[in-house]
Amino acid sequence: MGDSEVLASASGAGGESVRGTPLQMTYPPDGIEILRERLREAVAAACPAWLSAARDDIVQVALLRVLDAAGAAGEGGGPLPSSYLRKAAYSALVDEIRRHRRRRESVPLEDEIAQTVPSERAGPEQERAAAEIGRAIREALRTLVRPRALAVTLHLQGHSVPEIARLLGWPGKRAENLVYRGLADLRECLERRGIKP
Amino acid sequence: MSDERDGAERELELARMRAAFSASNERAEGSGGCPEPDRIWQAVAGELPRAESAELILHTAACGACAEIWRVGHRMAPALEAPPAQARWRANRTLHRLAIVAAAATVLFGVVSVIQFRNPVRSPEEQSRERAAGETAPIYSLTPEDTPLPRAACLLRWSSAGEGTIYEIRVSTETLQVISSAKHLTAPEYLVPKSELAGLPPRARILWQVESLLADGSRATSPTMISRVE
Repeated sequence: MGDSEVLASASGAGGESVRGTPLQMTYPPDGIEILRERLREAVAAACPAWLSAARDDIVQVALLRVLDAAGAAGEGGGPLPSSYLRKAAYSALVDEIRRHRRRRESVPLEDEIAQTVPSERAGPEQERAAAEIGRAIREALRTLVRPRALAVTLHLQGHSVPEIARLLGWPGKRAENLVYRGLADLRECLERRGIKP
Repeated sequence: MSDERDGAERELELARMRAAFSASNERAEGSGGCPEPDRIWQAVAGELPRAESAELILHTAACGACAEIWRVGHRMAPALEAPPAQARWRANRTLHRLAIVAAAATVLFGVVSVIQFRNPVRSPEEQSRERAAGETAPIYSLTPEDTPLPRAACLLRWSSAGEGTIYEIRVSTETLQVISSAKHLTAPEYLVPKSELAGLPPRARILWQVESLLADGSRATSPTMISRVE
């Protein structure tokens, strides 16, 4: 079953309104489970480790938003695009990230690490070391010429060269060169500061 | 072999830099003037004018809070997934390209005799550029990168490359020692046997790569993916 089909089935038989009605009475349970599983996959793929304890809650929030929107579509809004599923997962996860940031503004890093379930994280020393290198990378990125900084920033975010080329409207070869040269600049800059990535 | 080793180390170095860049996001606070998450979503999906996207990208270079949101968007946004036709085009590129990608995969896992394509001699720089080009199938990990996996249930999962695809997987340590491999997998997942994780220290990272044999007979190799075991 594709996302659209799942959403179509989740929007209720015969365009029945879903607002204010118990979900289990309106949606086919297997459709909801498929939705939940897809949202779970989307959230798992993107959820930072430090939010892993909240993953199920995030999935639940996203699911409710999808069902709510699917219900609204069933009331005459037309079918939801399948991309809505990912967008709902994104929004729920981003909301939780921001909430998490606000909550811990007053909590020192040491306390926060100590409060976190140990098995969910790397060791505190490893985390500090990685974060330190990360900050050095950010500072080094400021020194790169703009096109290389753009290319390397995206590459560090996990984008492949073809994706970078598409996003920035560059020919593939140019994106490839900028990533390659930008990484060399970054490496050199870090090494000057005594950091070997 | 030393050239190949250099190339593999470059790939590991990139993986470490990506992990460090991401790690510095956690405690980051907004730097002021942060864009709304919806705009980041649009930028990641390629829906914003390029000049505006470029400004957002530079903002994420300095602002860890927004970089984290961008990373989330990138892992979820559909527009960046290669359409099937393009995936096939990529998988069917010239023999030369496939040989390079296959060589890179072989290098990474220290295997020397698997490739059935001709493997032209390439400098480490050229190999690194090929890897940087990301000329691989649009397979991505569905296993959280940093959440340690229980050794008794070390399940590696990845995105499906379509019906009828057969997968091969190789799992190695950070020092490129292959600890587990499997062929003829019909589902996009692999449970690493507990016994094969026995030699790893606590919280060790494992690197894994998937090669897919698509239904049309073409092959494609995933990027290197990273997971952690308890």
